[in-house]
Amino acid sequence: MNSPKEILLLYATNSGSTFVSGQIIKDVLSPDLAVNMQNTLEFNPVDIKNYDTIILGSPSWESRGEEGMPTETMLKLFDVWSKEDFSNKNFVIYGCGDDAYINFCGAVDQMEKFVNLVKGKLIFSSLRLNAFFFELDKNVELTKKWAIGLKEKLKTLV
Amino acid sequence: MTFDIQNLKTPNACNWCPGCGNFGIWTAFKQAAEKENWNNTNSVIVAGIGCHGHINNFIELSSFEGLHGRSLPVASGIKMVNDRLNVIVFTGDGDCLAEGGNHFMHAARRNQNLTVILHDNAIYGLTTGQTSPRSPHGFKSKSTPDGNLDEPLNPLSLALSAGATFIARAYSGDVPRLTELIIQANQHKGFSVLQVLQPCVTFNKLYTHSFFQENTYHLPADYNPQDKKAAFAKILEWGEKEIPLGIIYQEDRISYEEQIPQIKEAALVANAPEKRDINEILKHYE
Repeated sequence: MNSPKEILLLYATNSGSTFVSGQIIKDVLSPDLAVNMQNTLEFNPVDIKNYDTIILGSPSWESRGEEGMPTETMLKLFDVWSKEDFSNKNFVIYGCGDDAYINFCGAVDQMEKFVNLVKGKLIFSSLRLNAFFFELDKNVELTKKWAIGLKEKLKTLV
Repeated sequence: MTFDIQNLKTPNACNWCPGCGNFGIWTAFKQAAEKENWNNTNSVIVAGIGCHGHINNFIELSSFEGLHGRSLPVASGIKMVNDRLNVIVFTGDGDCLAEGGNHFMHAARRNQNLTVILHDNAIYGLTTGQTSPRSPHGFKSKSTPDGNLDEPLNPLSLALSAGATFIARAYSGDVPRLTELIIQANQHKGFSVLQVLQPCVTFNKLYTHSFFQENTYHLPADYNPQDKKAAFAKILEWGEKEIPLGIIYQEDRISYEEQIPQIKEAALVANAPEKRDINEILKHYE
């Protein structure tokens, strides 16, 4: 496996929950690990070459006619990268959703599929957050706990 | 730590629809409050009626909510009594531009030092989806099933022509930039209007998150917000990939409060009313 230099935390967000949970993850990982947090809206796809470890985050929405998908901004990046070989990169995935919908956190499943498609390495179990803002205390704690576990995992790669 | 989302927490859980743009505004405001140290000793929030108005229940700050369209008169009164307070107004496109349209114009020309955060979802969401002053021509809703016959109102051209001295626009899904614009609007000495494009994910299927993500752009660094004519032109831009975000206009002009000598040394609330013996006057009319 590759050792993490600066980690890319690439998030898509609509209502802000994936952004806020991303901030919590970044706070837990820092300052021991350098994390560059970027919005998919403004990320230049060629810049992925600068990172060995990438955390992907997206809410689940209806995109391209299907429910339970990553946002269009994330899918556009996947379109660009779909022919790449990322076997030298580590990936970690988190997402926000609502279990009132059939495909709860379907975006997480889709992002995992993408990582497999480009031969990336999923190095940690994905985080699925339910109703982030509605059960804020529980979700903040859940995110912190998951990020602490992730930090330990990433430190073993250094 | 970057930001504590539990800052200014209340016992009430948010009750907006999943994916609502109000969450972004709420998050950005709390980030701004944390950065600027807004608390119950220095700040007060005022909201009108609408989905936006619930925000008062989810931020632990002194607040007032009530009377549709009357958030600005209440805020104006609070500011007059205690101009040292940081007064922030949350209002919706219905609340601000329909029921409260008259107040909006006159508050703008008065240039009171108020920060107006205009939640613009182009629909009446709380009443389950009726056409608002921001709904586009042809827009179909429960109140206009055959399509809206009216043209939408542009709140920023209205604010600019009425005399507002800080005019900006943001998208609710971009929390970092929205946070900074809330802070800049609040730091401006005068009447600040920040229009926040915020999708109503349940009732407005036109102005979605994707729509704003695809059709907005950020004003370039060399844009001069002090050029009023350029600001007018910029405000009129609205279309495919043609919706500008950022500070569109800013003018350094004396505020309403700064022109009142009686509150120069101390806020009105700090000046106890002078007690006068009216018996002498009463005797005069005996």
